[in-house]
Amino acid sequence: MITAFIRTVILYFFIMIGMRLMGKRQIGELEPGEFVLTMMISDLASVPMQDFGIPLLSGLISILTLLSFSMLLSCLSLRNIKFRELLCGKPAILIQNGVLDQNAMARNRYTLDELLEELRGQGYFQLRDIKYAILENSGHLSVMPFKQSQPPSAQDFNLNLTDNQKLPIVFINDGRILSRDLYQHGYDENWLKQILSERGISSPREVFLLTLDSDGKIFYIKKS
Amino acid sequence: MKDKNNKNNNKIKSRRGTSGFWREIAAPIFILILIPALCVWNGRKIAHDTQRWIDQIQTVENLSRQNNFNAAFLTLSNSYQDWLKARTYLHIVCRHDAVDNAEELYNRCLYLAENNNNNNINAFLSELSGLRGQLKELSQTEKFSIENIL
Repeated sequence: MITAFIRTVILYFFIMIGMRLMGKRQIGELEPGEFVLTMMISDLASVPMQDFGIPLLSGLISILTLLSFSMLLSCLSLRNIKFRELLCGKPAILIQNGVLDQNAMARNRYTLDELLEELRGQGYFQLRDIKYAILENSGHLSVMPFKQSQPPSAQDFNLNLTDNQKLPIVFINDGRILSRDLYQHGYDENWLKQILSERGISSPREVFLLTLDSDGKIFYIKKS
Repeated sequence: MKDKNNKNNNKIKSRRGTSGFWREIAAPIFILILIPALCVWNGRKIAHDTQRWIDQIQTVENLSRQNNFNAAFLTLSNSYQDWLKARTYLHIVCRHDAVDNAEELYNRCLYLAENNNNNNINAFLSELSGLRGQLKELSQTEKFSIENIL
């Protein structure tokens, strides 16, 4: 039993390190090769985890080989567009300038039902509102509507807004003070304690989240 | 003059880009070369070790056929000690049941060799043959061959 535990821990950390090296991708945005890699790694890991007769090393070697191949192919596809197209495919334009390309749909085995479903999922119920629809390699449909179907922006109203927006800075995360961010932005813990006491909070541990936005406003959520 | 400077800048950027590319793929290429190299080395090591044990078992068999049971038992004991030194390594790289089967056969052969007389020599020779077969199987599993791949 202890063998199962130790093998699981080793494989888990091994795969975590490998996947971290692979980079940031959500499951829904994986390229086909990355999806295959994820599926294979999960299968390869589960076998030595459960079957103690198989040496752990053979599982680790297989996983390491897959990760190395994947990294190598990623580097090569970064370097060469044609190789990238060979490996990952090319996005397909299904709707161009409002015209549905039925051949492109047939080539990608993408049915009209699927197209309408995806459009509805993104809030578009009329095909005539869509200027461009691109089927990405991950299977996601990117949509650009016609101007008249887009929500208006400040530019459309000729509003001259100054853009001084910055990302809000997190100072307290789940009761923990992020000292580095605090000092980087010219504040210190005395200032933070003063802010908290003004709001009737005696300790940073009572705060779930505290941020400072670009307007200098404090936003906080107390722990429940 | 400006065009020449631009061309030189592009060449420098391209050289930096190329060296960056090779740096990125160095680690995966190194791993993809190291792993098969180690696997081939491992296969050869196990083939070499198992052949040694098989030769020792053959010697035991020959001594038994000559009714020299004491020498046979001694040779088999030495062979088993030799096997014990490699057992941990074998457990790391081979299927555990294959290694355990070979160990079990060794123990059975040792028992028969210790209590041997002319009456059960056939059983002893049969076990020795089984042990040789099991050691060959260990070697075959780690061998780089088309049979294993397919």
